[in-house]
Amino acid sequence: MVNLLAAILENIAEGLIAVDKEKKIMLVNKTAEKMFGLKTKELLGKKISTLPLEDEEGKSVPLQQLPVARVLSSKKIINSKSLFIRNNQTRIPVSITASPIKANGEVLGGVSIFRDISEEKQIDKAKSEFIYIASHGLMTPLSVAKLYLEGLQKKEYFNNAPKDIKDYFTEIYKSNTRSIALVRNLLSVSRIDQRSVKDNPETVNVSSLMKKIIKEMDPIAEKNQVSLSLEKSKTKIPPIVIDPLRLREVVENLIANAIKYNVPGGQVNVIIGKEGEKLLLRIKDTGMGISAKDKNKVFSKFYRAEKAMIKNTEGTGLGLYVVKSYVEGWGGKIFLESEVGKGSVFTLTIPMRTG
Amino acid sequence: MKKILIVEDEIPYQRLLQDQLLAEGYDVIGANDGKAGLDMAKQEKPDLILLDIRMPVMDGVTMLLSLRKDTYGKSAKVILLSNLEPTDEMTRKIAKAKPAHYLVKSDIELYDLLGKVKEQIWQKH
Repeated sequence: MVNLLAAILENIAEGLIAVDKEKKIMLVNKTAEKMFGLKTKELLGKKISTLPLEDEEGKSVPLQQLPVARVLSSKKIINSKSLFIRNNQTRIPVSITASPIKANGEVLGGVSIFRDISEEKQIDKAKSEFIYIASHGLMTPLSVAKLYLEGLQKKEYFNNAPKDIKDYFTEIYKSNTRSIALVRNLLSVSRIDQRSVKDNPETVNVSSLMKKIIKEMDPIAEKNQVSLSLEKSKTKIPPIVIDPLRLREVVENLIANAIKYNVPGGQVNVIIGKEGEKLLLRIKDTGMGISAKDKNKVFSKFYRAEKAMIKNTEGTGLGLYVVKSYVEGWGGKIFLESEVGKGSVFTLTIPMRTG
Repeated sequence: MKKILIVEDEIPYQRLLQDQLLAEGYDVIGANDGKAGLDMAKQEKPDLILLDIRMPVMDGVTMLLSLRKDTYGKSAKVILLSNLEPTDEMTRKIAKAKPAHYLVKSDIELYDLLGKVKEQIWQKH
């Protein structure tokens, strides 16, 4: 008599491993055996940490960080796409979905499904490389155009040119500047994906940097009929070690959004302070707000909320992705609170390095 | 008169720079790839070299590392011009080839570029 349930588990085309409450392996299906290059009898009864799982850097994953171990305490489903199975000389990127085994109101253990995502990762990598190469190619003619436009501006006859010539020129120059910004955004995204972002930390006086940025962005705020203000908390913020260009990119991105997606007569408030040992940055606006549906997605690549697209066709959908990547790269967190029709608040907390 | 060598494969870019630098009163010579640039640098011993990074035959960083092995080239003043911010690997290579400055073409205004040239060319070692 064939045990149907056992046969089903054995033949699932994805790797399946179940552990008991003590995190000891109690079931390994055929696919998991193949993926790990290990036999069931070598794994049964052993702690889940015996599985050859590595992180991006090739380091072994500690027991408490393994998804199937985490579900035992969290009691919720956990997904991971950043781990690899080490099978002799090969590393297989896997998507792991772990869930607690619940019965009669009790957690009996955890079950983990492993899916080979090599192809997915390859496609992703090819996309990033394409963006990188294309952006690089695009930057060249844009830089040349920029140079010639600036060279023209220096010419004597340009200064004496009729107004409409100068206006046409200004539009060309603005267009060129926008294109350069877009290509640079694309480049940032592709380099984040390819993990080749060079972080250049320096000692930065955050308060002065913020004052400078606000001053530079005042004209844009004015043009959009929005007031821009900076509030500093009473506690003094010490100079911190951070990449000033990246920090600037983050802040400029958030403020630009707050201005862009605002209403005439609206406000943008930038607040800096400390939250314990962390730097706190808050950007509040009285703009169109972000719906609950979009809140989770706005930080992903190329995502643009529908309302935003209607208001402004130029956005690339890359800004918040870049912001989140940088902030998380610094070990920080970004939070979003928003209400449609009222406005949004972006809060960043960044651990402060002082030396 | 101070002499500047522009090593750049993008001819329109080189031409504009040349026009601007001539107008500022410098003597200007040019090459369109790293190898030609290296030979010209060793031969002409310019007071400043504007060096593009991505070029055919030999790229800017390779040219610079080679240049530093020469008696004149060891302390030649160089400003690197790139379309991109440096990657980790490139920064390490450039750090090995000190002293050099690194500017991103799309990031820098012409006015500031000329300012940088002036600053570097007149700076005492």
